[in-house]
Amino acid sequence: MQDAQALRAKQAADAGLLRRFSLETLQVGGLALAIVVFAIIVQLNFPVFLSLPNINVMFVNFLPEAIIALGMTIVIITAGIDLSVAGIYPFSAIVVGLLMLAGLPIPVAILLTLAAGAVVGAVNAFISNKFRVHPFIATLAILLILRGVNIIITGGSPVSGFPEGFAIFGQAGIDMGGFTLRYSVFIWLGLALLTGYLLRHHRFWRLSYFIGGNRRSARMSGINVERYLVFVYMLSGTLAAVAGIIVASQFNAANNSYGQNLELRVITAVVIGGADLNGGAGSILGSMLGVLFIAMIYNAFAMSGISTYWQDVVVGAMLLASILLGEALKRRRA
Amino acid sequence: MIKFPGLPDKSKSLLNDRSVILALLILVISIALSLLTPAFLSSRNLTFVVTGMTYDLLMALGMTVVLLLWGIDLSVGSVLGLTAVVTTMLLQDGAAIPLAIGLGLGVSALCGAINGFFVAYLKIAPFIVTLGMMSVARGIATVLTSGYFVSGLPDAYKAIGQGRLFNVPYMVYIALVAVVILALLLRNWRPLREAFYIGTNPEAARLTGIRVAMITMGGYIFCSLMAGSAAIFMTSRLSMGFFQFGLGAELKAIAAAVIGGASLRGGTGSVIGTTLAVFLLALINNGFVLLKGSPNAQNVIMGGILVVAIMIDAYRRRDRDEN
Repeated sequence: MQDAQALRAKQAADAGLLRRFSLETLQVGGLALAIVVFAIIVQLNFPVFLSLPNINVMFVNFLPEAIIALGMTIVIITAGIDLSVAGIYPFSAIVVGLLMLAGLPIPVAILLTLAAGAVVGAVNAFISNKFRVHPFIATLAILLILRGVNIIITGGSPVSGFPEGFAIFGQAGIDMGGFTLRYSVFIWLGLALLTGYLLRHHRFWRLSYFIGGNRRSARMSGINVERYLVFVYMLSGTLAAVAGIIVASQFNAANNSYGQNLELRVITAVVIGGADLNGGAGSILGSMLGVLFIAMIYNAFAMSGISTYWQDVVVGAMLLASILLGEALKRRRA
Repeated sequence: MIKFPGLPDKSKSLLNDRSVILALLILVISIALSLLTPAFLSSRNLTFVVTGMTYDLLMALGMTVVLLLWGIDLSVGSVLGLTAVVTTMLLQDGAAIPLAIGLGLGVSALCGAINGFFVAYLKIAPFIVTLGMMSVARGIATVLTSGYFVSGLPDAYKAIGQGRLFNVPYMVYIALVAVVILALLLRNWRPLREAFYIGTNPEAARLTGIRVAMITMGGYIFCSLMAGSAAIFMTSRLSMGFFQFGLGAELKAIAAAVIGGASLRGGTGSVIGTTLAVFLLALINNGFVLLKGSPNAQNVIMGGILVVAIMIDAYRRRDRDEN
């Protein structure tokens, strides 16, 4: 009797701990914890891991993924998906390069490229809305088309020789003694803080959770879901264009082979960060931690003597583990 | 036949049938190509086309079954790579050919079983499960070979992909037999008939007593096995194994299946449609090569055809309200 009571009390306490925090907090917190543990383990073995220059390298390598993940997070919250980012990313790098080579001033070239990214996003949403097809298929079609277009407009060879001022977006930065803190990191930080804040506090942006959680009731309560999705996919396309412009500046070249499998890497990061492909859940903080986690895994494998080829295995296993954990949490709370 | 109110009666309007549209397109393109270039109708070129499409066809057939079950399998390209690497490495180490093939296919079946287990029994979104498997399988293939080619395969093994009957590679016949068998099974075999039901409404299917989990798992195993078979043909034809075989093949397979009439919403899909779609894409690709056009345009064409297929679907569904 005593035991049974104690057991019940303990169960209640367990459930209390699980219930006290939202699912999102638990998932993001768990991911943050995993990152800290992983960092400590790697740091103990490789003392350079957490040095500022190395952290800088991690940031620079995964900056495009991090910026694209901002848009992807919102897309996934609305129960959508955007595969076309892996096409827009090299496309915008090429377009901005060609426009500058054609003699347009840098700001004009950039604005036109951002607009091109937004237009592609609008086309995604249009196909998905108008023909009532899953965004996976609509954006897959656009991805395939863009990949071909990228090769055709470049003739398969890289575009290079951009004006000097363009370097500011991906190469130049503040000299920190030993490494350069690139301005592009601030572009990412600004965008992340902005979208993170809006997604948490702004009424219009929060509608994405409503639409993703229950599209039918969102529609019934008078929200123009189709128009909202146009906005969301345009945002995702524009952010992919931002990433493309940064990478073109970083390498001072644009190549149609940029961004192979990038879409799936970004989706993996966003899902590890707690977003639900069924819609209605996800956060910018979680997605950024997801990107950071993947960046750390790649970096650690590159640093260790272990074959870097293991990184894909580990990333895949982490994805499955995080999903299983999320499912288990959900079930215990239910 | 049960008639559902609101659904268009497909038997009456031929043009509503996806396969007929695809067949007409194939006919038109074939006529155009044979008029434009005499090289098109040469037996050598036609053999080249059907041989080249075999891998895509096998994978698209597997994908059709998975899509039918309201699933998706992003891991097929990686499973192809892993099977290719495992089989060729075993052969290189002197394993008997049947054993190497058996173990290679066993590995692909295992990948499919893991996918299926996560999807069917743990109820995790197939997109995520197979995305994880995509990373893991490709990663293992890379680790096993350290990025090198695997060559030095026995001649008897190469004969599988390079051997010919009436000047047509064996693998083309095998793929055709697979198409016929699968088409018949999809029409007549009970578990696959039930797959249509599962894809349309899994919960209702479960309540009717259909073994949803088991059939779903079977679908994923089948899909992986098709990728594995493609790997056997590919490695024996090219006389080598490489960890990057099948890179990006998953999206192609999905596109072909959807052009052939499958939907990401489950419950539809046809073997004939998928086969014709793969053939159509192969023909267009061939046309670009023959006409000295940019072969790079093939992605554009594939995406374009996918958009057209989407539009035709929307037209067909216009009087039904979804969502």
